[in-house]
Amino acid sequence: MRNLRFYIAIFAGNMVRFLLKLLRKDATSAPGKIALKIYPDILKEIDKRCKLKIFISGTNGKTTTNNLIHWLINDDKIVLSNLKGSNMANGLVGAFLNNIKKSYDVGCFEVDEGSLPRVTMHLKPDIFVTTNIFRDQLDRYGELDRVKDLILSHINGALALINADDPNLASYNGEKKFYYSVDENALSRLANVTLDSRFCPICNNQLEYTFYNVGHLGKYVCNRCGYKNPESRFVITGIKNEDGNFIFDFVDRESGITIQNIRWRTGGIYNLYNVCAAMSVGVLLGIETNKIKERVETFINRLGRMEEIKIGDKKVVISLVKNPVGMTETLKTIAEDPYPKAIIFILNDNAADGKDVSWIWDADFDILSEIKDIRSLFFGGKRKEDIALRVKYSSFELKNFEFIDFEKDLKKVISLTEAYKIYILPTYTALFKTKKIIESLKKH
Amino acid sequence: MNMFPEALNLYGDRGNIITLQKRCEWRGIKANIVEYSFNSNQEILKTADIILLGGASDREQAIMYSQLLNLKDLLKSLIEDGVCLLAICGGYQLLGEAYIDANKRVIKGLGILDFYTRSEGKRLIGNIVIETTLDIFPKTVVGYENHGGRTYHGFKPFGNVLKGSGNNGRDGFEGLIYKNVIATYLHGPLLPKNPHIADYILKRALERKYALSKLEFQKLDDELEYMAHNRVKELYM
Repeated sequence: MRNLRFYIAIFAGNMVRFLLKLLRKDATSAPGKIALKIYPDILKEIDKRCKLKIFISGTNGKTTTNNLIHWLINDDKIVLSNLKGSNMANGLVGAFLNNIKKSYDVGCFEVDEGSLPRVTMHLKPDIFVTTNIFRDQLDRYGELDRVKDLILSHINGALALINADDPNLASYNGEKKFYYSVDENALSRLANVTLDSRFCPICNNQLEYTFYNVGHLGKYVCNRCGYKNPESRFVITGIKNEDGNFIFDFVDRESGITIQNIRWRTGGIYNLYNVCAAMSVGVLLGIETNKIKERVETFINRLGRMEEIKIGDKKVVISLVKNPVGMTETLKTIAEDPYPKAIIFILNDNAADGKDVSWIWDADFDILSEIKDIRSLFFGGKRKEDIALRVKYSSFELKNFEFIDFEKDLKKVISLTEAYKIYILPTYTALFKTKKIIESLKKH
Repeated sequence: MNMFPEALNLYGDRGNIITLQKRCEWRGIKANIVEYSFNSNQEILKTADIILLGGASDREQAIMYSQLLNLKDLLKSLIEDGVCLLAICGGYQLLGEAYIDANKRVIKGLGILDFYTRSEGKRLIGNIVIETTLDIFPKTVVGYENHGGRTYHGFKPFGNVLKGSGNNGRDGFEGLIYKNVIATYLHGPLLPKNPHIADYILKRALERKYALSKLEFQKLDDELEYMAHNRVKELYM
């Protein structure tokens, strides 16, 4: 009987997926939802079929880290993974429906922080990668301290890979853990306005920083109780920045493995944390160092995280923005780009974006005035006036800009602009529509 | 004067101080933004024309509480003297006598104003539109509320709820007005999309500082501000 239900669930889920595809609708969540309704134990089934399970959770970087790990291991291992960023129980089941096998060598899943209680009830991770904790959708997740407890309490005996540069995560007191970190580099800052967390997680004293890499990720010390970055096993170091590329070394201090001069083609310091976490997993799984290097260098981001797409003689760059630190880091990355550019902000306030748009005020928009050669500026989405207003109240002088209905006007904007690079910064629900429009342009 | 910005800075409330600063700057008024922090000397608080008291996460609010308690008497005398104070969410609750949490535990407030806040069931979250009791135009004020506590008081409210929950989701009132204190649950942040409130505060502060009976204020181009204001009304009212 149980078995029958399982097969009905699989069948129904796949039917829904098929129909949605036929209607050209997004099919990342609904099929899994139906299957879970019919057979609630389906996550247990996934658990049984995966020999090794890796979880990735935290505020930013889950999707990139998950895709990178997948890219490191998928050619000689059978891997099940939710690569498209759909990271609640429905999304995990959806990924399974998409790729049903009797058994997998590795199940590699990014898991939404809020979904951890439900998912870990059935699916037990062996390795748990933590990325970072920033403020994100407070209307849904609640405050930072709650998210920290949520993540750390669900590691539950798995081998934890902890970001040592995040003072909140680094306070994890489980037994089985390794730390990873990113060294100071030319893009590190001495001061930072986008700080979500400034207090020592042990004694509540204010932390002192030697440098910040991303938000409150950096080198910190508490002058009262002595709490500071723990010694990392895995480190990205020797970081050089050449024309938007990073070149760096990766060191495993325990085994002595060093991989030198790795070239990473996407901007943003925050990406180095994702790379470091993924490479650490690669080393732990025994992937050969030459291969790790080759794979990291050939990784292409196709999921709207600083994703570059060529349209005619122009370049469109899509970067999902969904919280203050993510927005700030994206703007910093654009500030490194010398080319003539257009910037299109798209702000929605649907449930998946966070209904509260006040987060844009915690992002550092003063960086806009450091960006060179902005030819045109557009605002779209349901709350386009809010994001324009945010820019008006930054140090950037807002003079020429246009409001657009992005679903209608995006094509026109891209073809008419004189800029060589077009940065599109959509929130979550606008990302898929944006990608669809850009993909259709590519085909012409 | 921005009180403990390192901790009391939830939900984009930084936008309030940016708005006051910019709107002064655009009128050629010099605004000194002072951050009142752990090591600040109490005396400096006396020089404030406008005080911002934000909210924080539970842990951070607890860290700040002992610091703020030392300032209770000074803050109270400044408020009686007409200082402009904008208290948001947790800052609003702190002005009262107590917060009674879900386990009936009483967490003492600063006790500057006689009211209390009680935790009752689900958090009140969502877009909110109110009609303000202040003598300004337009009458509407828009924002976003996200609070677990229900506040009950007999003071003049900041406004009547048109859409959303307000102080307690029952009596239809939002916030509190006492002398030049505005206390409210409205994030959003409050001031950018409600430039009339921002200017009201600036005006009262300048009138008090220079002992003017009525100040003529230079009008600014607020087209974008009211577009954002009206969008919230259009989408959520």
